[in-house]
Amino acid sequence: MPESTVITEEMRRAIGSLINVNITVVEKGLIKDLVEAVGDFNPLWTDDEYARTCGWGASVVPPSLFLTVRLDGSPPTSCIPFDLPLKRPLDGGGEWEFYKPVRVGDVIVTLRKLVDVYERQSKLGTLLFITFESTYMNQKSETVGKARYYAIRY
Amino acid sequence: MKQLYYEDVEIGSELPVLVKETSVEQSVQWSGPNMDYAAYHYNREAAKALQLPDMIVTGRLKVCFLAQLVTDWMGGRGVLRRLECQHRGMNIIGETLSCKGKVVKKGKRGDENTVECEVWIENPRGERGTFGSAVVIFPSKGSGSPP
Repeated sequence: MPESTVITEEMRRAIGSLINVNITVVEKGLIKDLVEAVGDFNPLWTDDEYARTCGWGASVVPPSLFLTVRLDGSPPTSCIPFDLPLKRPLDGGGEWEFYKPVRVGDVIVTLRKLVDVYERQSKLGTLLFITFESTYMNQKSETVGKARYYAIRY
Repeated sequence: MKQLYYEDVEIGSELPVLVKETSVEQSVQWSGPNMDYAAYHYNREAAKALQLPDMIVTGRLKVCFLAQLVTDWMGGRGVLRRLECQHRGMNIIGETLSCKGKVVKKGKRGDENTVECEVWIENPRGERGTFGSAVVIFPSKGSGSPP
């Protein structure tokens, strides 16, 4: 244990808790805005005819939909049940898994949990890591994707 | 777009480099679909107030660039199954980013043709600020539908 810690009892109690649930209807306009913002014009994301030639039946959404915080409804630290003692933000990255194709018109239900809080010393001083896990389900209750990601404050 | 098959993927081969320009306009445009409006990604004063050197590219956008690197390469019948990355360096808006990758492993996992790649992003000085890995499932030659 470090001599001084920024991790409070309140933070420890929050580990394992469900912090929000979000429902997103996947709209065509959202996918258009997303692919234009990323500059990813793969026809698979928007062109049903092309997607059919690849065997998908119709266009599928890009993996990037899961890489935004859109399906979660808000940035992860906006709904944690404690105040952050450190204010400067960093994105620690994460891991994303994609299980099933998602299409325009699907309804995605996201469950986001806070799964860990820990700290590390670095040249920037104390880094506080908050780990989140999101599970994404479609309207048929199939799990279409999962994510684990790290918000850092220092 | 060109289709790549499992049989054609060679360990050690490099993915075609994806070059991405970054700009304040892009950062603003991205904040909508990303649903994160934090001002230090498009407002210099907000960035300076957080003692950042300047406005920085959002980490999530960089992860999307890595996803595009892989999906552009694999073709329409491949499946990106997993993507993982860490951000260890910031990228200042205005930098040209080079997204790169290399095949490190291939093998059957169950009946899936699995290929693992290292992926990373270099700034104009060749420094890797973001790096990780991707797992792709490829069709076999002669198979009719996506894996």
